[in-house]
Amino acid sequence: MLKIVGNDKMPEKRLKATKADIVLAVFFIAAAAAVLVWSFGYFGGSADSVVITAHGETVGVYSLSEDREIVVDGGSNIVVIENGAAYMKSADCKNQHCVLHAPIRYGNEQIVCLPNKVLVEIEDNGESEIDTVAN
Amino acid sequence: MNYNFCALAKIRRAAAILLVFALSLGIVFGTAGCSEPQKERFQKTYLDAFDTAISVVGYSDSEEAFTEMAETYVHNELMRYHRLYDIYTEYAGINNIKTINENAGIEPVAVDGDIIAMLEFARDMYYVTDGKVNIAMGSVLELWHDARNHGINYPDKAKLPDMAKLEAASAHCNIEDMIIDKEAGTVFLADSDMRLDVGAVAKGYATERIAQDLEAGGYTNIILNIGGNVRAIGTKADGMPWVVGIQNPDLMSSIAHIETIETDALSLATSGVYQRFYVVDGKNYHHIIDGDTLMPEDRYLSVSVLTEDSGLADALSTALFNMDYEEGKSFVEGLASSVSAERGLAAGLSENAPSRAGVTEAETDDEETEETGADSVIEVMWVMPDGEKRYTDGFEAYIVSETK
Repeated sequence: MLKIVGNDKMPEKRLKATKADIVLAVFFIAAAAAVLVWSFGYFGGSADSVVITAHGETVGVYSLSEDREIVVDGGSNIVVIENGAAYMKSADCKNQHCVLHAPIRYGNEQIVCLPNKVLVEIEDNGESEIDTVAN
Repeated sequence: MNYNFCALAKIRRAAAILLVFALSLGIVFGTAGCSEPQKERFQKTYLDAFDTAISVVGYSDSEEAFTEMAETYVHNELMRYHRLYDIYTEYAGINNIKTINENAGIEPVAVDGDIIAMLEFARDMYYVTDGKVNIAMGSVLELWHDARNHGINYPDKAKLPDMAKLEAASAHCNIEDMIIDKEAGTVFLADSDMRLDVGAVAKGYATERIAQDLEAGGYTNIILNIGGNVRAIGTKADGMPWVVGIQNPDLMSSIAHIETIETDALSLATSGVYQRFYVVDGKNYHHIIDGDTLMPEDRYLSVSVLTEDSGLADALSTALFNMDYEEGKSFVEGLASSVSAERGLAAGLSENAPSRAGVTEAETDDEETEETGADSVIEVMWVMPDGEKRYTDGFEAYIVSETK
């Protein structure tokens, strides 16, 4: 059946859609649509996100594109997401290294508050240029 | 069911266009897929060992397999080394460096073979660096440690340690007073006022041991970052080198990395003024104390060392921090030409360590490296106080881009 339909030598006016034609067409459309949806997901409008953990437990995952303030561990640390970057606004630790740290925005960058065991890290989006930072 | 020709043709045309589109996408992604690793990338960070942040990045078939590797080989082992090499805390049932210090001038302390192996490595580093790395400086470093902690806790009352006390302590820093009895498995400090501080070598040494155990266990495509001691085990899963950012010593700067380098099998260690410091009268005092002046010197903002062995990288970054630039540069050039001998020396250490899984493999690795000793690398980047970067001749070959 398919062979006949696909044969260019057949006079066009005699062509008729068969069930197989419809099935084939639907299949192509579905496959193409699936690829399209998948590929858009891949190119991902999905923005980079910030993962915050305290004492090894995940506090939350937040989008870098949405400005907000996150209170960690009952206020021991306050993380701010602003203009596509995250920084430690305040910490009740003594050395304040995490507060001094510049805002982070690229995949795999981290801010660590060792005394409070708080970790703020930009999730690897697969496009990160840096694998790790020698500090 | 009958459809008119026009509708049918439209459907066919649409189907054909979509098919072509789908196939093209398939080709694009299929091709991209060839260079993409089959394995997935995972990362795990720990904050509970060696008073630092520890990251394991690697490619693995599953998250479970990756997590098990990171827990067993890296985290558990680091916790074990941390307890053994701790100078501040006692642990039930373990004699560690603190135990050795507390028995200074009193009696030899029976310790784990991994303590003895590390202390021997540290002693070798003392001689290699002409004393610029000295784990016997503990009594001097303790005065700085206490002053720093006090200054951090009470910024208004922050002050420098008393120079008279520092000078008195510096009379008790003789590495020869660390008596290691390998047969008995004991360590004894012959000078009762002497203390060991292994901060400049223990982390790098442990990093190297863990990396060698991973290699012996057949693991690859992993990069360890043990508080700044970066050690690559193989390449990334796709065969590409790892990309490592070197921290900008100016933490406030919007430029996070002062340099970005590529490496597929090397260690990178950095000693910097920003890592541990406190402020006295508006001036920062960092944690790398010069054994001659007994003060933290302002020669550099940071010194980064790129070489095979993580223990060597760690020790050299501290040693070079305590040398002037010209002295350091000629020291490194001399060392690079004899690097095979140094690595042979490091292999000799593990030879004498009590039976441990992985040691044999580690020696084999070293011997293999020795055979290709011409490829050994020791490259250095010095960041001067004004931010100027100076390099050994071969360092720039590893640089990816100036900044990010």
